[in-house]
Amino acid sequence: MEEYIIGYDLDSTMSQITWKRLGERRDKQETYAVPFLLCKKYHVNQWSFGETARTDKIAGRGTVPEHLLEKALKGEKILLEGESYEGTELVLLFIKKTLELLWQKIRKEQAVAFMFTVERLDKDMVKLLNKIVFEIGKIGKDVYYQSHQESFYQYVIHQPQEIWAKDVLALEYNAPYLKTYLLKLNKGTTPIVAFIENKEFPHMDLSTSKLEGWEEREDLRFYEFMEGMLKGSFISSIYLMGDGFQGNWMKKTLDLICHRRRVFMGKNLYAIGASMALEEKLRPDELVDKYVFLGKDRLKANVGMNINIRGEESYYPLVDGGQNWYETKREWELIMEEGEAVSLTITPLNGKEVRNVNIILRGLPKRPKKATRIKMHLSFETEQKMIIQIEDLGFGEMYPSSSMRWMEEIEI
Amino acid sequence: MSNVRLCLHKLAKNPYYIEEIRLSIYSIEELCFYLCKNPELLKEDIMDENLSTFIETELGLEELGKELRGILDKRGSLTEFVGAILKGAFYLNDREWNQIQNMLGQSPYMEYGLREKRKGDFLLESQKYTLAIEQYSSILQEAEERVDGQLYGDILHNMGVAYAQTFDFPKAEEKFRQAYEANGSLESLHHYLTVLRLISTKEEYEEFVENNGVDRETANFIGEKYGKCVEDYEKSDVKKRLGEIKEKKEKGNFTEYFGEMNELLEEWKEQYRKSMKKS
Repeated sequence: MEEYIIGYDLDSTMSQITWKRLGERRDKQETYAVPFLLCKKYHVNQWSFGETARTDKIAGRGTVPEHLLEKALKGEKILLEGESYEGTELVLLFIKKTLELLWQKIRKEQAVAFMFTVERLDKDMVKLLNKIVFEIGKIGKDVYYQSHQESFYQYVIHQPQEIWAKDVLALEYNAPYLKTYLLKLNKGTTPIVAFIENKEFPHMDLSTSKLEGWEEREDLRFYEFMEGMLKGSFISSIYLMGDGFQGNWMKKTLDLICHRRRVFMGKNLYAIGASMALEEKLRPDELVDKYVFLGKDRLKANVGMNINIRGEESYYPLVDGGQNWYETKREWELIMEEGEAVSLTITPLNGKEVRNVNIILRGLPKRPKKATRIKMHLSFETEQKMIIQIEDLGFGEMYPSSSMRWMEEIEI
Repeated sequence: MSNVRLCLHKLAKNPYYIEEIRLSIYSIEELCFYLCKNPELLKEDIMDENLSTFIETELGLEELGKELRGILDKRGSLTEFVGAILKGAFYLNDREWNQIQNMLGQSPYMEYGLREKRKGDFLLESQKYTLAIEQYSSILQEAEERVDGQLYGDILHNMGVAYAQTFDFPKAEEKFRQAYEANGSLESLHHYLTVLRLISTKEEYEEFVENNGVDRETANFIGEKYGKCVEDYEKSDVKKRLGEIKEKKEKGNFTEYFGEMNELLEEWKEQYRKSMKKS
């Protein structure tokens, strides 16, 4: 049975799904784009989505919830025709309907892995995606998450090397305004560290008025913007994404940005980047060892502790920097040799000072040395906020558990 | 210097039962702790094929299990057997092992009462109060004449502790009084007076102190200790939790009130049942 990997770009304006046979050439993927719209038809419990939803709205056949993804992230309800709907439920409905289209092209059993890629992977988004994944069920080996930034990195790094010989710039020109991602590679480290500088330019708002002469005005505005952007930079390639680049208005600007650079229209870049990331997870290539991406979602420090392992005191790594915060959950059982504190060592990857953090287990029952077993659970709420939860397990029948628990939030 | 040890081995689904102290062992750490706790009490009957099998299959320590079986096959010594377990688990450093080694196998040479009391103490520390009381009682019944005054008093003292932990304060009071009469220990006196304070009103306690010539310093010490316990209780998590539950009742949230009250009572009942278990 042929195996497929699927990348799903969940975006508040246009969602995209890309699928590709595992092991197939990277340019052999298929994609379809669906406007992120749901329309509830008037007076009936029927919903349309995508282009059909847009048509139904224009034709006055139904109502479309505004800012759906934003509201779902905030846990807000949406009122349509006097009835209240959970934002999460509507997002789930949209995703289910788009996936139904996909399962007409390939069978669900053929999917070996699935990845959502989203603009920002913060706590609210992870919570929303977790709910969605719970409802849609497992697809293939697992369902993964990735930010747009990381999808962009994955996309670029799998292009011919001359594309990313120097920095690579992505311009995302959608409502309300322009955003940029500048991918840089620090070739002085081993492995080579890639990171992205992202910026927003509210003054470069997407002009919706198309009065006479708008193309020239827009071209000039953008030309001046790019002149400033490119000054003193070392950019080998540029990707242009978004509705703002539709049409043929870029004439002078194109002359500028194409000079000694490669320029591409990046239509499905994030979804394709997501599927490339999946392929790398399932079939790692030489890039995995050579390059590491330190995106916003990645942990910027190593966390460990000095511990007795098989009679010897050693540094034991709990978490390595560079991992995704939302995928990082670990658990250990430890014996307290003495005292009532657990000490962690935090080593920032940027060379800043190493620090020790003591977690005091206040109220831990007094027991002899080596007669307390604890369970320590480590997880993250953001890439900077680590949560340590410790539970007293007692010591078998000799010292019953007190059921005491402690929780500590630590900035790393 | 680290103060934690990583647990590398699994917990047993089927524990190993040590009949002598009615203890089930679930991990290699618990086994090592038991071996080191009272090494002078260990006898050759710990060198058991079943223990080797337990270590090999339940704890997943195949190499160690085989090694122990080898020691049994060549009729090795208690020191070899216990040493193999403690070293195999990396439980002790060389200095600590030397200390334990010197104490191994001293059981036959120990005073009867002391040996048996240590077993009772182990049960007491493991919060198996009913079994501890039984063990202590059996020493006094079987060999009262073989146990000297000091030891006799100490056994009674620990019986008092066990009874107090099971909330049988009248019995605890009786045992602490007997302990003090036998061993003259200040600690036994303090415990006696503390339990007396618990089961009496302040006036009754003061009357007793007055009529029995208890020195004022001791009486005040107990009074302050009692007051501190009351203070600590007022600040405790238990008090806070009870307060929160009571608040629910006062606000009329009876479903939550009864739910949480039942949960708390079940927790306490479970703790009490465990401590009263006879196996």
